[in-house]
Amino acid sequence: MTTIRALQTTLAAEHAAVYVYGVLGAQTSRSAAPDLYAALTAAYTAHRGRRDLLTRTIADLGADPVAAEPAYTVPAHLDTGDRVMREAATLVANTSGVRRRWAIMALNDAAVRVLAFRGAPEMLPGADEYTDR
Amino acid sequence: MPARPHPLSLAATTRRTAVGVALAGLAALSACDASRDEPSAASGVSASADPDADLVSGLSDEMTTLLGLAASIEATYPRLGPSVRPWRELHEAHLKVLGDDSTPAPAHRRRFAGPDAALRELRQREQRFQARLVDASVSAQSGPLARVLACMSAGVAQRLVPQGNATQLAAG
Repeated sequence: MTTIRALQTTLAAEHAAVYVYGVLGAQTSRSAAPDLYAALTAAYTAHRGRRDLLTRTIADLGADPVAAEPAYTVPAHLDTGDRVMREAATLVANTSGVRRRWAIMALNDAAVRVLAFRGAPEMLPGADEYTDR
Repeated sequence: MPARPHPLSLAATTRRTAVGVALAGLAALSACDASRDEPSAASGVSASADPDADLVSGLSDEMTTLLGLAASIEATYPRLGPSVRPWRELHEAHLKVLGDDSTPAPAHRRRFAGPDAALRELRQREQRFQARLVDASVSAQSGPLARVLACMSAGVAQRLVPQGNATQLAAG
């Protein structure tokens, strides 16, 4: 996989995450569920920041950043973070230097963030082939 | 219940051999990726060249040391078992992924300043090791190895989060 392609698939995952966390945040009561609301808002902000950075990075490399879909299915079980982790891990394998470090940080951030919604740590977040789920 | 790793199928007899076999396994994993349409800056593991062997060997040593610390804490303060055991399981799983299936040294009681201090020491060393895994991932020559090390760093990062903080997701 090329670096550009890995960046594009990571961006696609971030687009989906921004959408899903946005929808969930909009459906969550800030007063009735403040912790959940805060977690969703933080996730939304983090993914939006990464989406924007990836968009700029891909454009700087001379490619057209993949666009967001008009809408995404909001999963019954929040596995949006899992997709982000998978793609960030793939990006790690297909980059080097500063970009790889950025991907590792994105993976770590997503791994910690999913705990707010799921609660169960994994042995190797983002590397499905090594784990039973 | 934490997920369990699929250990690589290894017939390694020494750590050095195990690391080589693990790297070969990662290379095979990379080769199986049909979508890889050109070599990246970090792709391609050659077990014969073994450019990451020292890196992996060093990480295995550090994991084994952490395992020993966790075992000592548990041996000294058995009631801390529930807090310490997940760290042992994590590092044992990671060692298996790296191809190190050597038997850990037996746990010995050790003098700590107290149970809180013992847990604090473990946590501080795990934090340092998590940063070490990040750096190791950045410096790995092999893309697939870098990916696995990054995922290990994420696994440690998750364990460093105090448990029981999950919020109830009630969408809709």
